[in-house]
Amino acid sequence: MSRAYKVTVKGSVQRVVHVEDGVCTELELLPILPPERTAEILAQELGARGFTTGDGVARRVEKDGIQIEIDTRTGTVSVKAEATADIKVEHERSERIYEEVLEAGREAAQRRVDSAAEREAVAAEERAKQDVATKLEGRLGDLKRELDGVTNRVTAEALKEKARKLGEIEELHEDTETGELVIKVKL
Amino acid sequence: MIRVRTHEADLLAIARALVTRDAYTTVDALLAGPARLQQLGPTAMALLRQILGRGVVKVLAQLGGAQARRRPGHAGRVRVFDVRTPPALAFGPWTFEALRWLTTTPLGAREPGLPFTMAPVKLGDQLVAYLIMRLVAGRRLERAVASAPGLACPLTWLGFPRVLARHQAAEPGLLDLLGSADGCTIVECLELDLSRRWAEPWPEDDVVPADIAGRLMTAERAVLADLVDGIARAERWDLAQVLVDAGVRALPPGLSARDVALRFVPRIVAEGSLRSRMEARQRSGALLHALERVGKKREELGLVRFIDDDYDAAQTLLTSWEILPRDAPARAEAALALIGSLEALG
Repeated sequence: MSRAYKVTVKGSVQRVVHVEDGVCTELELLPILPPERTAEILAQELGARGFTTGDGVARRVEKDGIQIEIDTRTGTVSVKAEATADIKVEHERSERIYEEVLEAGREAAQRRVDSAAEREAVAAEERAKQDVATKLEGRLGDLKRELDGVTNRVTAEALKEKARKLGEIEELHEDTETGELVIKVKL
Repeated sequence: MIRVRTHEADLLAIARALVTRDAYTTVDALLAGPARLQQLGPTAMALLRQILGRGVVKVLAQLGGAQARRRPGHAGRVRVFDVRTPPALAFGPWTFEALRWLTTTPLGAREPGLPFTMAPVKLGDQLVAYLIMRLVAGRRLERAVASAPGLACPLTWLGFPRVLARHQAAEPGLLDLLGSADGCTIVECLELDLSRRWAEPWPEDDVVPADIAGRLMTAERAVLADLVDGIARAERWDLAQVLVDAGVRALPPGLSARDVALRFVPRIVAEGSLRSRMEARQRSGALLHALERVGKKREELGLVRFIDDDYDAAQTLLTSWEILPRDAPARAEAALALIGSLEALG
């Protein structure tokens, strides 16, 4: 008659994962002025909004860690969120194993517990990724409005500058709420 | 009275459904269930030849061949059959094997059995493949049929890129479909059907994961880019009428750029990385990209002078493309800008 043993096995996974998510888009800048001048106006406008510019790229890091980078020459916008997750998963499992297959049974039980721990760790990693995506998604609405505002301001400034080059500005009316801009130029 | 065996009759019914409008329901049960059929007797084979020979001509006329419109080199409105040499359509063993597969395989079963892998060789076979896809697209057996590697060929990619890319991993491509006069004529005859398909909006209730959406959009972009490249190579810009007609449907006057963009952007499951969702959306709008190229060609044609040799051909094309509003390429561009913007995630 074979005896059954109660075998307890433990499995654990510990890792630090760095998760990152981001989106890219373009600012719709009209070619009113030469690209170099448009880039200067854009850099100024972004500077007023807390961006720091270096090597043609304006950067800002939000309080929640979201990084915004805008290439002032091309208008390419990159929004990125990052997070580091410390994943620790421990599993313990007890099984009854007959004496004849004790070693093989113990190994099989260990594989099962390791596999369960790994699955849970992967799920935790997925959750961390989803959290980053959700955080980023939550900020995109505000960011889109801000970038629309930037585009409008840059376009308005470019139009004023172009108008000054064309002749003498007789009348200039700007509605900051609607973004409407009326410029009368004496040629 | 002509007599054929039961399963021969099933095969003939499926063949007839391919060339008959809205006939899917008449053959759904035949497609779903199993049957035993190794070969066709002489009577059934003669009937099959008759069904395909007559039916294909009828269906090509219905899907665009009988549509009278202005065509380069011809005064007034003419049909494809009035101006082109009838294509030499031959149906090879593929057609019989495909019909036999449809008849004998229980496509409605959980495990339908061996997939159909034979590749269509002749243009007639490709046309039958197109008609098979047309029969099952959007129906309950779409997956079982469209996942068969043997159904993927240039003509089916042109008409059903979304369906094929969803159900199989093959690379989309039109190869040299427009490299022969017969290939061009078939595409011309399918003009009406193709333009309807390419203008179809993304269904509201079709919500897919980002990776699948990305694959479908990439396939659509590749197919239409291939089509415009082929048109340019063959110097058959009249075939771009497919895109013009699709553009007329997709960009009706008064529809805002946002609404145009929404037609093409896939509905994506709100999970997974934002980057993959954004990238999938940014790949959409295949028709809009193609219309930009058509718009550029229209500008070129407008510059052909009265004294130039190809003035008449240019004017015929321009007249034929007049149905596409002048501002359509600009609205397509605006819609594409929106698709690429953060708004696309809204």
